[in-house]
Amino acid sequence: MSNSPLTLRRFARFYAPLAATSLLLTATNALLTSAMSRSVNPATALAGFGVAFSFCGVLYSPLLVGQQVAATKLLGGSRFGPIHRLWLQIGIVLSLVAVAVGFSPLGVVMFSDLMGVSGDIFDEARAAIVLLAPVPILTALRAVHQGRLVAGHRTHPIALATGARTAVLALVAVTLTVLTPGGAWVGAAAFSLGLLVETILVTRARAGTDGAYHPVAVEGVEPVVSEGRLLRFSTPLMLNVLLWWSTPVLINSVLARSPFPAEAIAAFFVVEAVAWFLAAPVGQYQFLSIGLVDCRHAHRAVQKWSLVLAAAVALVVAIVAAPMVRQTVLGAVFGLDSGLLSDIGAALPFAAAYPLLYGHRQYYQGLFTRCGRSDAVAWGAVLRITTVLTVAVGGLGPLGYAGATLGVISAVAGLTVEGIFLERVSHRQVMSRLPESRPIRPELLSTEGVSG
Amino acid sequence: MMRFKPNRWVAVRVVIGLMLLTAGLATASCGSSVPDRDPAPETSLQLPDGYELRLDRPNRNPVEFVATSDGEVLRVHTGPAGIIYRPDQVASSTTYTARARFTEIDAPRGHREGFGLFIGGQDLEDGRQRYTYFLIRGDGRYLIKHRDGPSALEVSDGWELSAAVHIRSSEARDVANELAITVERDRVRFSCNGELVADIPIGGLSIQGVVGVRVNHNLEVNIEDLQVEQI
Repeated sequence: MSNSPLTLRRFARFYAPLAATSLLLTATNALLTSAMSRSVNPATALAGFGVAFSFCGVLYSPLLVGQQVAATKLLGGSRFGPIHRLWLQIGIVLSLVAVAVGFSPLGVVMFSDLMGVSGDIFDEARAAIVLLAPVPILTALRAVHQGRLVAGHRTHPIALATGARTAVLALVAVTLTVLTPGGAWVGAAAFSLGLLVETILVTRARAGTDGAYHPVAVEGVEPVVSEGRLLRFSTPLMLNVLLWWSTPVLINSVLARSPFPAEAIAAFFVVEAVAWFLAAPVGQYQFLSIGLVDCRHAHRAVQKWSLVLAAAVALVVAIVAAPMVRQTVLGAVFGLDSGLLSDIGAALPFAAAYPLLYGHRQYYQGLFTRCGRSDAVAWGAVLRITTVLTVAVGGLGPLGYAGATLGVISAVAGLTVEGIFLERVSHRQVMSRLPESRPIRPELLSTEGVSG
Repeated sequence: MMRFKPNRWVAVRVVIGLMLLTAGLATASCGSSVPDRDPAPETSLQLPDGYELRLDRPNRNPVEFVATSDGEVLRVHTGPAGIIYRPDQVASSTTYTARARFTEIDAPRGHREGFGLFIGGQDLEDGRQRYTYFLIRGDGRYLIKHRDGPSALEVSDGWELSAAVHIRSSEARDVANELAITVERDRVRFSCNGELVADIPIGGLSIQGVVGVRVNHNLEVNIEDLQVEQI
């Protein structure tokens, strides 16, 4: 960690690359949504992709920690081969699960019996999951090679590959939308091809210490910890990642049981894509608390600037959610009918709370991770997911007709409860670990930045 | 270099101001009575004389379900999904055939939005609505369902494929299909273009009541010869 004084410029220089790459990552679903909304059957295409992608997210999210594991092991002197092999094997197994869901009765169990989707949404979801089947393998490969690059202090290729992925994904999605009637399969094909290109670029990039190190955002990655404590420390963080990626599956499963499931899931998927894209600048706050906070004085300063940025981002979401703006912007970006736009418009204002709540969550999760309290991170995640499910199921009766709104309110309620929990733990147990103003040696983090 | 100086009140004011602005905008967005819709020339509900409309979802804009008639052809252009009917067109006997000819205009290939006939409409203006409906769609499938209040139970096994349903050809973008529902003794028969696609016992289906048409989202359909014939 740098000993230079904490200034707004240092804050901005540290965080700007993280926010920029985070925007690139979250542009994925906004681009796919825009393409699929121009399908012949947009509601079922979006709903089917929403179901398949949320399920795929649960499959591949545990693999995201491969970056952390690989970087830690390599920095500890381990060889890359065994790590690479192990992760590839796990990726293959999870991809085979996706194949089984696509082609065997397991698909009926997962999508129909558990998630509650049927008819056209089921057909769309099944077509999409077949094309998303390579995602776990590709994620596994990408994660360990990202870890290799991080360990070699070369994060530029990671950012470059993320940009290439977004560009390829957009190109494929647009091409398929123009040339075919479209559907959920278009989103799945574009996502898989984009990820394939990103994986190839990352796997081919040379590791070394020649490049300048700049922090970049990487999906679902938590900070590196010392090898000896890896498993005990990482397990709660892995649970946290898994529960985060399980949230859309749970909400979609509830919405699938609403009176208008296709419209509910489709509108919820669009709202999430828009809201999380706009909220992307606050999505890497965990690295602020990890990289810049070494005393309570720094905590107050970083928290203040973070809060200003989060409030500004929330304002942007609120402006986009304003009736006249959303009609113009969403109408142009997503070629949806006015019915779906109406559902999206009703839900989007509630998503204005995302940047504040999510930024708060990310900041404190980083702080807790830094202070060795990953257990509190996991408990917060458990509380959040329990709240989400309770509110979604409880709201199905009164709000079932407005499924997207119910989904967003459930997510906001979950983040609120988690935020209150994290705040209480922070004041009671974590703040006392930070000195008032004297910089301390980081307990768990080797360098500032994403993970290396 | 701009050095950080703790000036809590400035930041607190900025954050509170942004939060209040955000909350205000979000609240205004939630409370807006302006429905999101494409700019449309029509600003009021457009229905032929004697017709009633019921949309599936109360939060949809009925202006976007446009129906016109020249006396022979009922032209429907949706928007939101719903049923359109004449309250006086009632089949009260237990043996009759309801039929109509539907032409989907400029049908996109593979379009999966359905349209068709309903019979046995009761309490259509309130939450107890009941009716039995028979739909087809552009991918050559049909669907039979029974609506009872807020729930709609499938009578057919979802959307079933049938060669009886005409679909769009490369020559013609408009596709015509004639649908008929025959109620006779204790059975109901569903036919498309004269070909029987389902023959089922009446059971709990609603068969006595208003006869009308149902058109789902974003379709342009012309309906001709909607009639009820006593057998």
